[in-house]
Amino acid sequence: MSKFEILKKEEFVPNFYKLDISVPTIARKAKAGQFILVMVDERSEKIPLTLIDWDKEKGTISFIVQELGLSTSKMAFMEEGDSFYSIVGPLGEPAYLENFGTVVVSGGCYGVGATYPIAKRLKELGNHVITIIEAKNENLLYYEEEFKTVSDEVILVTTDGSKGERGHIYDVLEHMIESQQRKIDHIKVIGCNVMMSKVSKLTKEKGAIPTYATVTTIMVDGTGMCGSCRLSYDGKTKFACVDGPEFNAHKIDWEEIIHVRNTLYISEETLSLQNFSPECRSLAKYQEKSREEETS
Amino acid sequence: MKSKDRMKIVFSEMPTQPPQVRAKNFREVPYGYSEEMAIQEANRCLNCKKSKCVEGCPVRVPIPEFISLAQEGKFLEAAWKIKERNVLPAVCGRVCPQESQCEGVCVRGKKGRSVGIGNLERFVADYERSSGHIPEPMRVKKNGKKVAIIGSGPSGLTTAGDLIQQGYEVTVYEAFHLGGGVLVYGIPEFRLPKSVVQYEIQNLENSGVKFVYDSVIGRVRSIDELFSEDGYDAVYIGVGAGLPVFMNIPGENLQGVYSANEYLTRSNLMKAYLYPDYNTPLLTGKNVVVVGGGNVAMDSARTALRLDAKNVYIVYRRSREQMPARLEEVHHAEEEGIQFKLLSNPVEIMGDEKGRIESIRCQRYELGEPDKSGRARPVPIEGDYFELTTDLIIIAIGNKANPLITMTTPDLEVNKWGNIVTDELGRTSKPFVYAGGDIVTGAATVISAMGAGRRSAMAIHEDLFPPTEEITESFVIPKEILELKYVAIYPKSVYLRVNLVNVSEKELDQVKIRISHVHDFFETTMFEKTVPQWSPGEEHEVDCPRIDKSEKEYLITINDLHGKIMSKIIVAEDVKK
Ligand SMILES: Cc1cc2nc3c(=O)[nH]c(=O)nc-3n(C[C@H](O)[C@H](O)[C@H](O)COP(=O)(O)OP(=O)(O)OC[C@H]3O[C@@H](n4cnc5c(N)ncnc54)[C@H](O)[C@@H]3O)c2cc1C
Ligand SMILES: Cc1cc2nc3c(=O)[nH]c(=O)nc-3n(C[C@H](O)[C@H](O)[C@H](O)COP(=O)(O)OP(=O)(O)OC[C@H]3O[C@@H](n4cnc5c(N)ncnc54)[C@H](O)[C@@H]3O)c2cc1C
Ligand code: SF4
Ligand code: FES
Repeated sequence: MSKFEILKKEEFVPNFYKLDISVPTIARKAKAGQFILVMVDERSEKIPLTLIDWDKEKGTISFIVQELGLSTSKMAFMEEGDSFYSIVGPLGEPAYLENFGTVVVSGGCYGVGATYPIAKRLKELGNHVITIIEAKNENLLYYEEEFKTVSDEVILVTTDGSKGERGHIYDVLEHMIESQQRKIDHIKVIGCNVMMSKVSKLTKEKGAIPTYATVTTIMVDGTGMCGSCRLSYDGKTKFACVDGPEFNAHKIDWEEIIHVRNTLYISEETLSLQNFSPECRSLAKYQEKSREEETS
Repeated sequence: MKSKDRMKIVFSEMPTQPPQVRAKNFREVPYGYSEEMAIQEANRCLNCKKSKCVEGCPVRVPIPEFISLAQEGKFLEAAWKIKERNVLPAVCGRVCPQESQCEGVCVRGKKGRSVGIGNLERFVADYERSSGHIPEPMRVKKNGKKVAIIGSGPSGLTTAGDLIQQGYEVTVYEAFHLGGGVLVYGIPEFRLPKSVVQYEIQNLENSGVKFVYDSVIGRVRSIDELFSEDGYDAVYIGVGAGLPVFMNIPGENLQGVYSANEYLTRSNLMKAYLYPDYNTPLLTGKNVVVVGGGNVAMDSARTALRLDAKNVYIVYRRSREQMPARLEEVHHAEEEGIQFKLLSNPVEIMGDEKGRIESIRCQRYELGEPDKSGRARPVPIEGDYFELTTDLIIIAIGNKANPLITMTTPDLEVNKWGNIVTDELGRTSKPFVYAGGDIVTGAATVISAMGAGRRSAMAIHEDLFPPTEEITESFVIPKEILELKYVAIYPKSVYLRVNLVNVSEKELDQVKIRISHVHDFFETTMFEKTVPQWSPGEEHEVDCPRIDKSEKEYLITINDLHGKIMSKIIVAEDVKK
C-alpha cells in the first residue's frame, strides 16, 4: 500500500466527500478537534481538514471534504487507490473536552462532519449531548444517523425548512435558550466563520454561555512558523494552527477574521479554479458571487 | 609563483546576470567562475603560514590547502578537502557572510580585495557536483545504535552526515514535505538553487540516512515516544527558529501584511512564484514595503521585485553599516533598484474599509549613544514621520524560538527566550537529547548551525560509546601539566578532554587551547577554544573534528592572556583505529 492511499471514498451528499486514508502514524495519535494539512499533488496548496474519525488498529484516518475551490475539487476527482502527495498531522491542540453537563454541539457545512468526533468524545465523557446540524436543504444534510449514536438529541435545521427546523443554528439555539427547558453548560460550534460569529454573539448576549468555536483561518505550515493563521484573541495575537483551532468564541475578533484575514486570495482562488478545468469556471463565478453575498 | 607575482593578480569579479534582467527572473544571480577565472583567483592566495582565514572560519575549513589544490586545477580534490570540515560547501559558498568570517581577515584584504574564498568554495563544490562524480557512500559497519534527528535544516543534515559515517542508523524527521529547512523554505532560488540542496540530501540518502517527511515531532510523536516506542538511543533537535516576530503596531493584521516567513515559504517551498502552475497563491504588490535589515529582508524585497513590484522599499531602524545582511545581498539589492529607507521604523499601518492596506506610517530615527554592544543606538526623532503608499508589507524583523517541541517536552530546559539550553556540545537537560542550530542560538547563520550539528554528533558518540582504556593509552601526555581525561578517535576526527594540573595555584584567565597538526614545521590549527578562566584541576573539552586520519602528531598549545606559551605537548603515538 502506498503512502497516503485512499482506501475508500464516498460522496454522501452532493459536493461532500468522505475519504478514508491509510496513515498509521496519525491514526495512532489523533484526538478530537485536531486537523491535518493535505497536499493533493506536488503542485497543490496545503489545506487544513479536520480529522473526523481514526482507527488505531487499522491505521486509517477519515475526513470529510466540501468541494469549494481548487484543492478540494482535485480531491473530488480522486479515486480509491490514488494517493495524496503529503499529509501532515495531527495538528493543533485537541478540543477542550470534559464532563460539562449538558453540551450543545453544532455544525454547519464542513463542520457537520468535524463536529462528529467531538460529540462522540463528549458523550463518552458522560455529557448530555445535543447535536444541531445545519444545511441549506434536505439533500445536503448528512451524518444524521451517525450523530444519533453519539448524541442524546439530534436537531436538524435547514435554511429552506425542507427538513427539520427552518433557519439556522443560531435560531435553534436562541429558541432553546429562551425556552429554558434545559440549562446549557457548554456549546461547541464548527462551520463557516460568519455562522460561528453569529452564534458567538448570541450566546455572549444570552448569559455568556461558554462557547467554543473552531476557526478556519488560512494556513500554510501548521507549526506556528508563518503566522498566516493569526487572529486577534482577547487583545493578543494567536496562531490558530498551534494555539487552536478551537478558541473561546467570545474572545475572538470575528470582524477581523471574516472581513480581513479570510478574504485574502479571492481573485487568486478564482484564477486557480479556472485554470484547473473549463467546467469549473461557472462554479468559480458562482463562488465569487456567493462570497460577495456572504461578506456583504 | 612568487608572492610578489600573486600580489599583482587582480580580483576576479564574479560574473552576474545584469541587474535589470535578473530583477525579472528567479534564476541564480551569479553565473559562477569559469575554470580559468577560478585558477586566476586561486593564484591570488599567498598560502600564508599563519592563515588568518582559517581562524576566521567557524568550522576551520583548510582554506589555503583547498585553494592550493585549485591553483593546480585539482578542483575535485579541492572540494573534497573542504568537505573534510564542511559538508555543504556549495551552500556555504553562496550564503556564508564571508566578509565577516574568512574573507574579513584574509591578509590580502588589508590592501585591496581579499581572496574570493566564497567564490572559490562555490566553484569547486559546483565543479564536483556537475562532474558527475557522485561520492561513493562510505560503507561503514553499523554500530547498532539508532539516532533520530528532528529537522532537516543545515544543522540536522550535518549531524546526520556525521553520524551515518560512524555507523549509526540515522532517521531525519521533517515537518515539511521537502528537506533543507531555511535553505528550501527561506532562501530564494535566485540565491540558492534548490537543486543544490536536493543534491546534498540525495547524497545523504545514498549513504543511508532515512528521511521521514510530513512529520511534526511534538504532535505525531513526542520525544519520549521516540525513545520508548521507536527505540532510538539519542535524539538531536535542530528545529530552527521558526516563530515570526511581529511589530505589534496597529493594522498589522490587515490584508496585505505578511511575515517574511509566510511570504518566503509560499514563494519558495510552495513555489507560489510559479503561480498558477503551482497552486499556492501569493499577493503581489506594486509598492512593497519590507521592514528589517537582514538577509531575510533582502530576500523578501528581491522576491517582491521579481514578482512585478514597481517600488520596493526596505525600512530599517538603524544605519546601512549596521544592517546584518550579507554585504553581497545588500549590494545586489541596491543594483536591482531596491530603495532603502534607513533610520526609520513603522508605527502604524492604515487600511481601507475592506481591510486592505493602503499606507504605512514610519518615524525617522537618528543614531544616539552606543549601546552595550558598542553599536550606536537608534533613537526616534520626535514628531518626524513620513508615509509610504503600499499594497504589500512584509515584516522581516526576526524570528524567535518556535515552542512546539519545548511545549510538548516539559523536561527540556529553555531560557527566557524559549531557546533550548545546552552545554558546549549540545547536550540538553534531558539525557540523550541534544540540540543545536537556531533553536539554541536564536536566528544565526547556516555555518554556525552546521558547527553545532557537528559538535552534537561528537557528544552523541561520546555518550553512546563511552571511552575505553586502550584508546586513552595510545596517547603520551606529560601528566605533570595536562591530564588527558578522555580521548575518542573516530574515523576522521579526534576528541579530547583535558585537565590542567600543576600549573600554579593561581587561576589563569583567557586561556587559549589550540590543537593543530605539524607538517614540515608548518602548523595547521584544527581547533581553538578560549577559556575565560581556568582553575587548576578544572576539566575542559576540546574537540577537533574532521582531521586527517593519516595524521600522527597533534600539537596542543595553551596560551594565556598575554600570549605566553604555557605548555606545548606533542601527542606522538601512532593513532591506530
Ligand atoms: C482548522 C481547519 C479545519 C478545517 N476542516 C475542514 C474539513 O474538515 N472539511 C472541509 O471541507 N474543510 C475544512 N476546512 C476548510 C478548508 O481548509 C478549505 O475549504 C480549503 O482550504 C479550501 O481549499 P480549496 O483549494 O478547495 O479552495 P480555495 O480555492 O483555496 O478557496 C475556496 C473557498 O474556500 C475558502 N477558504 C480557503 N481557505 C480556507 C480556510 N482555511 N478555511 C475556510 N475557508 C477557506 C476561500 O475563501 C474560498 O471561499 C478547515 C479549515 C481549517 C482552518
Ligand atoms: C530568508 C532567510 C535568509 C537567510 N540567509 C542566510 C544567509 O545568507 N547566510 C546565512 O548564513 N544564514 C542565513 N539565514 C539563516 C540560516 O538560514 C539559519 O541560521 C539556519 O538555516 C539555521 O539552521 P537550523 O538547522 O538550525 O534550522 P532551519 O534551517 O530553520 O531548519 C529547521 C527545520 O526543522 C523543521 N522543524 C521545525 N519544527 C519541527 C518539528 N517539530 N518536527 C519536525 N521538523 C521540524 C523545519 O521545518 C525546518 O525544516 C537566513 C535565514 C532566512 C530565514
Ligand atoms: S588569509 Fe587570504 S591569502 Fe592567506 S591563506 Fe587565507 S585566503 Fe590565502
Ligand atoms: S499556519 Fe503557519 S503559523 Fe499557523
